[in-house]
Amino acid sequence: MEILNSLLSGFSLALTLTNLMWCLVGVTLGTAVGVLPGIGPAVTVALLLPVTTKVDPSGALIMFAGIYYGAMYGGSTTSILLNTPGESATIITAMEGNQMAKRGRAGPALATSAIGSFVAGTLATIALTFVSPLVVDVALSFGPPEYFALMVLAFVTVSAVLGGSALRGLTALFIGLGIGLVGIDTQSGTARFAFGVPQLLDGIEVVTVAVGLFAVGETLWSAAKDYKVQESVMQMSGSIWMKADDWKRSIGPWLRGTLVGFPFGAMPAGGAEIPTFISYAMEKKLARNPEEFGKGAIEGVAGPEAANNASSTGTMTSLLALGLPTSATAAILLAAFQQYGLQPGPLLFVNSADLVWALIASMYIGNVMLLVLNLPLIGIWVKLLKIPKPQLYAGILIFATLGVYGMRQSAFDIFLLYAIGLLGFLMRRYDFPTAPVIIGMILGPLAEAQLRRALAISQGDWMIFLHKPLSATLLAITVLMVVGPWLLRKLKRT
Amino acid sequence: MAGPGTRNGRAGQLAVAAAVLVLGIGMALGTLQLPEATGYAGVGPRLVPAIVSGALMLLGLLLLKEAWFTGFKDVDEGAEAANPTHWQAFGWISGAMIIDGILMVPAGFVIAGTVLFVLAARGFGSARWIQNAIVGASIAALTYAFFNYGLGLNLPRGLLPF
Repeated sequence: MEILNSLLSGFSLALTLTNLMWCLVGVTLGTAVGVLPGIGPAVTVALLLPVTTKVDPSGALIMFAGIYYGAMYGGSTTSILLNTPGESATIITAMEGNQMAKRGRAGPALATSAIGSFVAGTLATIALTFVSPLVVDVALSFGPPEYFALMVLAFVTVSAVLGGSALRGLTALFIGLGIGLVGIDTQSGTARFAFGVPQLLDGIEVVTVAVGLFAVGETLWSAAKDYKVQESVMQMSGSIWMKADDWKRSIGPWLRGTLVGFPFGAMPAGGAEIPTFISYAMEKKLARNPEEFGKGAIEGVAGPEAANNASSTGTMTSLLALGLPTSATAAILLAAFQQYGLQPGPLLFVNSADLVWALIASMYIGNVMLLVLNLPLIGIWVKLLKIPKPQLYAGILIFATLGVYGMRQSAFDIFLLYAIGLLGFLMRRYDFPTAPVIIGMILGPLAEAQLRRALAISQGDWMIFLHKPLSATLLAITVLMVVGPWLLRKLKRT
Repeated sequence: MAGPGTRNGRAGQLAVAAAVLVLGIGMALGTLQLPEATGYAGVGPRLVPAIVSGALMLLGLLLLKEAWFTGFKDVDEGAEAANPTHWQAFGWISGAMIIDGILMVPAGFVIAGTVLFVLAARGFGSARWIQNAIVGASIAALTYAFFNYGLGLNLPRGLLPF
């Protein structure tokens, strides 16, 4: 009952005219950047961080969250019509949905992914509404050792477990942690790794790193490596609406996809790709005609699309209730909270309950807006795909320099942006994941604070992490996740 | 299939791995210059830099080992060699970014942005200079107007009167 009351007061805040406008701006921008290749939700939220100085927290955060889940809707359009996944979580959609489009079923493919995203987004928001207060109740009892252990677990899962190579994932993570160390240490006032450069004393801006790695690195890559690729946009022929049979075949996958996606996102492990793979495999197994999979089965679009949407909403649970971001975009959302001096986590539900519930209520509203934006208005987004590559990427670079310069008014940051773009290019070339860099640089300083607080409590005794049952368990799981696969391989070989 | 291309790729992998190792060593040297921990808990600004630099050195060594013996896991140097980097395009984009950084304050956001747009579009093979200049200038001017007057951000005006 208490939850429903909080949610109702959240709606009363979210339904004000200004907040509705921010929500609409957010989901529209989110759909647009989800559709466009070369720019994604992480870069967009990063580029818009400067607005936090002008807009009140509820408006800005409602917009940023809208960009995050709106991009999931837009990404599927690109995947289906272009066969290049706009986001890593839409790889499956790119496969199966593009096959449907090739067989003249682009309309139903777009419809099942939009409606599936809506069903999953709404159900996952309901789950978020009821699960986060429970998580908050547990998390309120956490002390520094528990928090530090939880962060270590998140670090390891996002870098070592989810990617292709644990070695490269961890390298990316530690590079991010290193970037997070640059500047004045807030606890002792010592300058670290600033090399006497005044611009580095304030640290390196998240905007510069995210935009450099994603937008500039992607632009360099696209110009220097993908110049041969000729992309052709599928024609949208026939009706967009689904037939009765399409509905019957979609409903099950939508619900099962949600069921798989939400917990994956909500766990401090995160990752939206794995639930889409699981959902795809599951639907293939359950289907009446599995031979249709790979040739454009509607179940193979409906399930994974629901899964990635539910997972991104799940990620919001872990961000809001635990303060733990498990995707690059969530990490930048955390940075947006910090701009307002707010720290996501259980205390946010206590100290800024109004804001949190308005944000959650806005997610219900945003999903309805997205359904309208992505079904009747789909034609507008298809036009976006026709922007020629040279002008698209050149335009992205203008926005990149705008956001980076606007943050600190320093031309130094533009050179830094280019340098980080080079790093992004190299990481792409040698297949290092980039998300761990962002998560490391944002979560790193928080983890350091918890570590030092824990050791101050224990007077320097590291055993504190093992004496507390919860932190000991979390650390044991972490070790298992790293050593487990390696051990299994060794055992298999002998 | 160890063609000449894959050998180049292997050299690149070794260089990347060495760079990680050097970064770790550099951070370790920087860590040594930080003040010692004070207070009875013995934790200070040195602790985490020490952990991070140590981890980077270790990861650098492991990457060197992997690059030397087997090559990076799941990195297909053969496919890379078949799709060589277009360095000219790379150069155009790089030049665009660096010139933008130089022009930003003296010439202003709109002029720097227009130059950036034209050069970057050239990197993608579009040599319609005049059309691109017009499109670039419009995008730069619109964003300038929106962020400067709408949101009160301070973007450099440079040579332009408004």
